[in-house]
Amino acid sequence: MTAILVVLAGVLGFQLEAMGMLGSAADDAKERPDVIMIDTIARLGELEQSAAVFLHDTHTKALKEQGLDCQSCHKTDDKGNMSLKFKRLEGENQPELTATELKDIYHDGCISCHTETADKNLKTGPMVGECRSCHQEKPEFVADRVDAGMDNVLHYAHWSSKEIPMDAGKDTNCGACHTKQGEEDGWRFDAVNAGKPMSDVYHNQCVTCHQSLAVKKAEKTGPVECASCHGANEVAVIKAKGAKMVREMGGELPRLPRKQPDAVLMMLKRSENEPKPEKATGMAPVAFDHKFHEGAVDTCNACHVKGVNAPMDVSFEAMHDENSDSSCIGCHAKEQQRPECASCHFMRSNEVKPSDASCISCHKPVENGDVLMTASDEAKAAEAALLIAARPEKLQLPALDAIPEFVTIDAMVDKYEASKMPHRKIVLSLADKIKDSGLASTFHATPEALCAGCHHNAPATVTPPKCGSCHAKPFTETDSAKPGLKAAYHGQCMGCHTEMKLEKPAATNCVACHELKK
Amino acid sequence: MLRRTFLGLLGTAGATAAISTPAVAGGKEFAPHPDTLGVLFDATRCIGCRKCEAACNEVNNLPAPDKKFDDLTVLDQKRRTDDKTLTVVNKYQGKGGPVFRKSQCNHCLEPACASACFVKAFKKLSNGAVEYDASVCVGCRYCMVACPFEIPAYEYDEPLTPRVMKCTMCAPRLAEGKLPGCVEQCPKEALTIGLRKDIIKIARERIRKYPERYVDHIYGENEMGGTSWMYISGEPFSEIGMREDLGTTSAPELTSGALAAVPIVVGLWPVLLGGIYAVSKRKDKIANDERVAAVKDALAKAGAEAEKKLSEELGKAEVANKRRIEVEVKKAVEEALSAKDEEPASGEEEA
Amino acid sequence: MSVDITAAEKKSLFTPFNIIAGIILIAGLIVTVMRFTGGIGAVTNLDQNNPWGIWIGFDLMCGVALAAGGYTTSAACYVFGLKKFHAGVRPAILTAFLGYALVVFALGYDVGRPWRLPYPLFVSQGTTSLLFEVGLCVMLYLTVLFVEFTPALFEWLGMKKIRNIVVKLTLALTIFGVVLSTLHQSSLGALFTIAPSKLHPLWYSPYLPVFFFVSSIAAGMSMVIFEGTLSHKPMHHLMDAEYLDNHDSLILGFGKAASLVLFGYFAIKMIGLAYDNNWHYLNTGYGAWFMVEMLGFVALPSFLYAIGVRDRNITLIKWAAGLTVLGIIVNRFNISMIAFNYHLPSADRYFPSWGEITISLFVVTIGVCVFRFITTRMPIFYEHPDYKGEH
Repeated sequence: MTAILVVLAGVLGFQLEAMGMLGSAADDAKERPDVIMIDTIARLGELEQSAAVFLHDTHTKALKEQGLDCQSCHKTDDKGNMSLKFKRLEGENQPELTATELKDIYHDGCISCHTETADKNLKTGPMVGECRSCHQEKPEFVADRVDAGMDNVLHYAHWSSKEIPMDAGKDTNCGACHTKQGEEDGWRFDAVNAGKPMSDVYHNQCVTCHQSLAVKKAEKTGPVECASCHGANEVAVIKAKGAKMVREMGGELPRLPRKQPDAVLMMLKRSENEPKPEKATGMAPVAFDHKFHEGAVDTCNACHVKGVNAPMDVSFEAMHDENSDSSCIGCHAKEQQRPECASCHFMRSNEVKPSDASCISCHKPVENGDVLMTASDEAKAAEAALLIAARPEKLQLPALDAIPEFVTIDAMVDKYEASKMPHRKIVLSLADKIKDSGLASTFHATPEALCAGCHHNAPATVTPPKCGSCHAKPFTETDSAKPGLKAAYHGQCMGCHTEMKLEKPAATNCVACHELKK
Repeated sequence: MLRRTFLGLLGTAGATAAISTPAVAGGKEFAPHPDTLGVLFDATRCIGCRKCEAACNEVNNLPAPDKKFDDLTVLDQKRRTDDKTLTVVNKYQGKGGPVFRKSQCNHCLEPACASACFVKAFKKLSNGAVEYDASVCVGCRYCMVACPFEIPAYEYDEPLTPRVMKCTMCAPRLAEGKLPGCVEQCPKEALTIGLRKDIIKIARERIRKYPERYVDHIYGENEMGGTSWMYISGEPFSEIGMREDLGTTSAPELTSGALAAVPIVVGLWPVLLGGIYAVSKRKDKIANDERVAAVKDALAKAGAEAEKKLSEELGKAEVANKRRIEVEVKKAVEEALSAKDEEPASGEEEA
Repeated sequence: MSVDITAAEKKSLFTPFNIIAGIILIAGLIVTVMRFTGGIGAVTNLDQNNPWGIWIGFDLMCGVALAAGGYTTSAACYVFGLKKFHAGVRPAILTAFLGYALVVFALGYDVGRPWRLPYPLFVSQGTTSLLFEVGLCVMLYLTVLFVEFTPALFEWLGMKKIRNIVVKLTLALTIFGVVLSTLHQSSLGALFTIAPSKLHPLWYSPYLPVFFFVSSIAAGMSMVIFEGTLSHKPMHHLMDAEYLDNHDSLILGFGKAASLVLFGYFAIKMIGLAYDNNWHYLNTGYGAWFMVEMLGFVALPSFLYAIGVRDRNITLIKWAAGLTVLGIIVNRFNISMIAFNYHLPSADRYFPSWGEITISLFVVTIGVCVFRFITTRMPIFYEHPDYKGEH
């Protein structure tokens, strides 16, 4: 009898395990950047087995230890370019392989090497018959990659590198990667690369160069392992090294020597042949400080989304979309999230349309607009430089005695005494924190603009209305979204302190702002 | 398949009765009372000052706690409501610092406690509050089992008059036109009160205006069939101690299947059992009849056999008798003849 | 037959059984006073997260499940017409009656205001509640059981006429009893359907009412065998020929039925697992415990019963009955205390206090003492000489 029960239990357990119902490996799957799921023949038909899990870095390391290199798996074509496919060349002049042929390439190629390695008594991969060790239904590794990216710092590391030779007759080495001058981004969008996945294009460009430099035993070269460019930790290390390098150079990255304009006048173009309109059309031109902005962004593509050669999208949306990272307004909105700005700006939802005053900060009307429309680029650039120079350098504030020193808030005295607020001290402190910000100086166009940070939803003035004139009883029928006066005060003050990451006074320290009534 | 069966009239009618509004009679779904209030808790506004707890304590005349309400070290432990604390604020770790959440009765639209109570001690009022009536409560504590938010507490230390204790939404104060204690005291207006349908709109507005600030979900809009007390938060709700696996089915719906089976059992079982009884009785009767018939048969057979034997014996006896007589007669005749032979001269005895 | 023997037995009051029972009764009285002067909190480990403990899990849920012998035996005898169960009906009815009466008695401790127990029936009917269902049916069934018990009482008191009237009601009462039992046994399970978030998925099912009802059938039959075994030696001198002659065939009959019912119960539990696709939970600690309950306390007794019946091995059937009774207790404990609140951290979980254990023992001891009192005086294990053959 016991025997039967043991057998029953055993059968049940076996059945459950076989049905894969006990435990799920997928939940514990480890994440690595170098995981490649091989499902090459998926495009040719239905897969019989699940995709094979392949760890590229593991293999490059193992091959290196054996003194082997990329050639073990990657063939080179007659031009000397290494194919990124496994043991085959693919492209226009290569024959199309069938599913069976591809399968055989992988099976023979992989398993034979594993068997040889096993013969050498080294750690090896699955061999004949161990199908599910590669074709895992619930893979024990999943891909987790971050984009390697090419920001300005990394770009500087390349264009200032002595390893990359200068172009013939020039003192720049752009041609090493950007083959066609004037179409620097072209190598990405080149017809040669059409239809290829971008990863192949980049890997072909970058990894092969790094590899060849490593072979030549160059002093400094870039990484060839997956994780070194795509692993979160490794990317952080690279960024940290880059930041250190910039600091050592005095905090400013040298400008890319590509003869970019310092100032640009953004306005509608009109060719000479077009008839002069009766009055100037379109928005007033924007004098754009290109030099400043170059240093303020990580990469040119932050604004030149389609590449530095393509014409920029100058639609209203592209320039003004507050939710976009590449529009003027959107990028400025991001800046407003810094603690010293967020103190006032956090309360303003993105939905609130900026006032006309902020439009004029950029779109300054000019008198000779119609002339400028047909002027040369140099003339426009000069005009832009003038306009930029005319902008206020420092933040403007009202006269000191127009800013009340203390404000006594006694409208709601109940359990606590009135609050004596050090108003002037706060205003000056806020102004001090943003005194070096060009964005702040330009956009806080009037002296009263800063006042509107707290005295909101009303025209900016040095004599704003009382808070209680809008914020009265809470939960009123008319506008239940507007807080009552108590919450308005607390929300405003506490919100600002939280955004500015001030530790004192703590939000729960009531008596720091108003004493308890005895 | 009890789960997928019809909602019993009993369950629905009962649930309807638990709501003091002219709900749609016999319907399977009904909307909350149009004047139901709602309260929105905004976790991004709460600073964990515990003024709401202090207000609740004062308004409900609860005993003073061991640690005063301005002692914020209390937040280092997770607490739950108990018989002297109708609401608690707990501290959680958020992405950018501590986050706080106030916990109290959520005043569900279809309360599990009201459905579970077998003396109708809970009532969903038209203003949205779920009210407890201590005058009928027996103290069975099924409401505590039923509440998915683990809110009702019991006065275990009261020997003779223990009550279930939970937030009342300050229904008496609401009736006077005042605000609930916690809502009134909160300095940040983390609690917003209004008509439930308006509160949902306000919550949606806030999420829409500040999308990077909030998780896009109003907790309580649909959970457990919808609650009057709803939450919006900057952190995922599971990070601030709220269960996200409760589903949207209300508690009464969960038990309506079992309740619906009751009248069916009452109607069918007697028929079934009576039928079995009849069948077994019939089997007995037939068995009995067969037995009686068999006995009769056996008796008749035995009788016939006896008769046969008797007549046989009688016949035999008759034959034997006849033979004996014949033998005797023959003997006598022979004797008489032999005597005559011995006296031949006399022959004059004929006269 | 009865009177002489009881007189002879009254040799000494201080038998081992009486001493132990006495201690428990005294302890129980002390805890009772503590309960009603200090509140539930003074004697239990119940708290705000765990409102129900062993007073509900054992006294109510196990008590009701194990008292199911009443309706199963009387249904077997009077509805299904199986005469061999006849002698077992009265003991089963008495056990069930005492069982239910003690359930109500034990509730007096657990419920906050026991004097309000009639409220759900007479003051404010919460008909949306499954607990109302349980309460109503338990009250009605207790009445039914009491009425079914009264013939023995009337025979003892010599009240012939009223006894004959009540006996005529037997079939109707039996059917009514089965209806009520179905309802309250299943409703006890359905109580937990309201809290799916608190009961471990392996035990939670919308089919809980069905599971409880089916298991109560097996529980009742097993309890009749078990309790019959326990009382056989001490009450042997009271048992008449009919009882003793049919004792074994009753055990065989119930053994056969219990084997089938347990098998069916096992099957529907597995179907429930498949229906909710909960297989992956088996690979956890709770899963292992679930398999112990299913295999060790449901499948195993079903198997043992089958073998016992086939081989006519009465001893094996008795062991299987004991195992089943234990299994029912394990199942009810699991659902009310062990798998309930499974999501709470272990510091917040419940374990009974000494006060609760004392009262539970107290209640069981009262039951045993009253059972002994009644069976040694009234015609339970034997037929009253005046009414022989009149059933």
